[in-house]
Amino acid sequence: MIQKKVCMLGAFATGKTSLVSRFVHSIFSEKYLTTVGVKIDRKPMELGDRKLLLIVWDLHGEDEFQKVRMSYLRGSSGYILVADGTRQATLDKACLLQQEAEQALGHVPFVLALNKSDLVEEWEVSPEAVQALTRQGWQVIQTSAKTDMGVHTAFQTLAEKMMEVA
Amino acid sequence: MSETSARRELKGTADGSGDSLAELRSLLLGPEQSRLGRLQERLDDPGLLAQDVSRVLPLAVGLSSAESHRLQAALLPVVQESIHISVRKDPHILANALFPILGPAIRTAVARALSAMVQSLHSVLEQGLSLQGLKWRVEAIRTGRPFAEVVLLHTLIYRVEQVLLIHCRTGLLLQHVLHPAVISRDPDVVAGMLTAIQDFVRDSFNLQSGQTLESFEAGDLRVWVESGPEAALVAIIRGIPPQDLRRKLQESIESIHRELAKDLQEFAGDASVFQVASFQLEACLETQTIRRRTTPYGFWLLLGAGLLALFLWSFFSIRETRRWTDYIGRLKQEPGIVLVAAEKQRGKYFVSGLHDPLARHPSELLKESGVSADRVVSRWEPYPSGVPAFVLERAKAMLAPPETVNLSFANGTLHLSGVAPHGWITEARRFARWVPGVVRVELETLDDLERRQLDALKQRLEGETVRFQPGSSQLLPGQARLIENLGQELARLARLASESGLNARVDIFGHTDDSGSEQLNAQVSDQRAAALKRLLESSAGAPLAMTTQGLGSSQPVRVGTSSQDRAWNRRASLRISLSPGAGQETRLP
Repeated sequence: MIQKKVCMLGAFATGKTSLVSRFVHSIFSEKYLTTVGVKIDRKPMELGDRKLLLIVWDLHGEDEFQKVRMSYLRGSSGYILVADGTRQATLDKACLLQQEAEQALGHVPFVLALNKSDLVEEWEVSPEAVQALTRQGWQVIQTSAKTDMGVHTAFQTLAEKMMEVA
Repeated sequence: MSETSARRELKGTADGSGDSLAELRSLLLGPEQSRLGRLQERLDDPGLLAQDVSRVLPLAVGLSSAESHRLQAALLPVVQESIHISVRKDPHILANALFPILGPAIRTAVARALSAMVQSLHSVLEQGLSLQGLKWRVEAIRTGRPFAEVVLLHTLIYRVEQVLLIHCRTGLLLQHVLHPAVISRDPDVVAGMLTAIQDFVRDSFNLQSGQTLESFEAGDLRVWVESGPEAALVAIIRGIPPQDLRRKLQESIESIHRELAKDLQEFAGDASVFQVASFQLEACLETQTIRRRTTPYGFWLLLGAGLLALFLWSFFSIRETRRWTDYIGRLKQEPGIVLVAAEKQRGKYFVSGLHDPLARHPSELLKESGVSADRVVSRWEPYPSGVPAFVLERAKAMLAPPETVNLSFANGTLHLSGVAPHGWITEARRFARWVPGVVRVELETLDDLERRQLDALKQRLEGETVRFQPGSSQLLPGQARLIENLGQELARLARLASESGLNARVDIFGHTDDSGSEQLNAQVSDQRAAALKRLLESSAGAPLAMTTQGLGSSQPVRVGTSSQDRAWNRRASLRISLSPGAGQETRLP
């Protein structure tokens, strides 16, 4: 079985933890996030006939009080950037975080999860902005932790990208 | 290449310029070319190559094994698959091969299991009976853990419960071993979290590169981290481990880095190659418990007290039983006691029977036997015993015999002997047969005292002779005292006869000598008897039946004709007759 470390990155309250909890059954409480700044879960997956174990590091969302501890990114085989479609600022933050992650990790696979797609009518993020990102080669997936939409796809896509690299 | 062929080559080169180069080459490099050709040939020929490899293979395998476990790891899937195929093809081959080792292996396993069980049992027994053990038992019930586990936790000095080999860069778990008694929850997540904590500490306190969190603890749980450049060994330890364990962890991580350096550097998520490190990890799973050499005093004290109590109880119980048996034996043997029932109920003894008042009282026997009197409930009914001694005793008490009487009892017959007053004899004759236990009364050898006196008196009186002057009824002088004595004796005779219920009659006979005529003699003898009667009547002073009779010279006291003989025959004598009085029993001794 192949293990891969993946990180969840994003601004505060973009729904990273909700996405993870949709994806895995967590053994640790969320208070780790605010104390240590990270909560780790595991998710076994199957890609065709290959078995994969994702070790998901859910990093505390960056806000004005707490920055993402970039050291937690170390050794990641990939990461999921999470932005809140209803807040443009979170997308901007995701872009900044992507640059930082690229610095720390180099070119590793990542996907952008544009969360809260159940509230699409309230979105600040314009479709143009999203298209601009896809043109840059970003893999953008619209997700909703509320309806489960796109959650599995986001992780599956990242897993496949990572395995391609491997 | 041989020397002749080299010369041939040289000759060929001289024939033409094109061939000259080849010839030169042949001259210069001929031997090497030949060697290379042979080498090429060996490499191309699988048979030859196999021969070469087979020559160095054992050495190579040995070297590889000494250096690291990589060869084993590489061969592992092949060996596993081969075994798998072999079993599928013909299971008997492997079964036969394993047969010689299966027996010893099973025996070893069973012995180990038994040893562990005995050890566990010993521990449980040792701890189970002490005060501490009771506390732990309560804890086991409260927490729902097995008692043996609670004992182990309390007697544990330390136990390495888990060892994790973690890839430093990714925080991914490379290898993980754990103690059989421990349950692990998602070690790969724990590995990630431990790495995160390392990062957290490093970031938060600006630690320099290479500085890591080496240990942390919570309660009796300790986490020791031994980091290498690529991987870290994390030991989860319960209790207080010795520093030796740290050294062991260091050596292990060093060894792992040495053997798997390349794999660690190139790690991309496939941890299977690190399976070989599990040997080293398992070596770190140490356990050390407290060897309690001290005896659990509480247990021994309790056991001692219990044994002492048992001993004392047995001692007193046996003693009590023996005393009771002794008492019962005494009761059975004691004359005059008839034991009817003896039993023990609820710690009390009940005894009942018959008791002759003349016998020893059962309470005396009870005292002698030592049985506690307040534990015995007795009920004794009085009864007259047939024991000869008691019958005799009873007869003596009832008859109150005078000292001159001897009483004896045998075979139901009460014998009375000796001398007793007539009145007592009469009473005894009447009552003796009513003495309980007496069937017959034998009085043949018992003399009547009064009768004996009467007889003696009678004999004495009848032996007396009152002498008279010749041819007259005048007494010879000097016999007044005799007459007075006779009178007194007769008075006594009258009294004794009266007391004995007898009638006494005194016959007075007058006698003469043979001189003179028979008629005269008869007359004189009559006179002499009558004279004496008168004298005695006046002297005795008591009414006494007296008769007189003259016998002449028919009964001389001295036969002869001398004057002295004749003087003795001039006399009077007495004969006393005693006959039963009115109302007296005829059956007198």
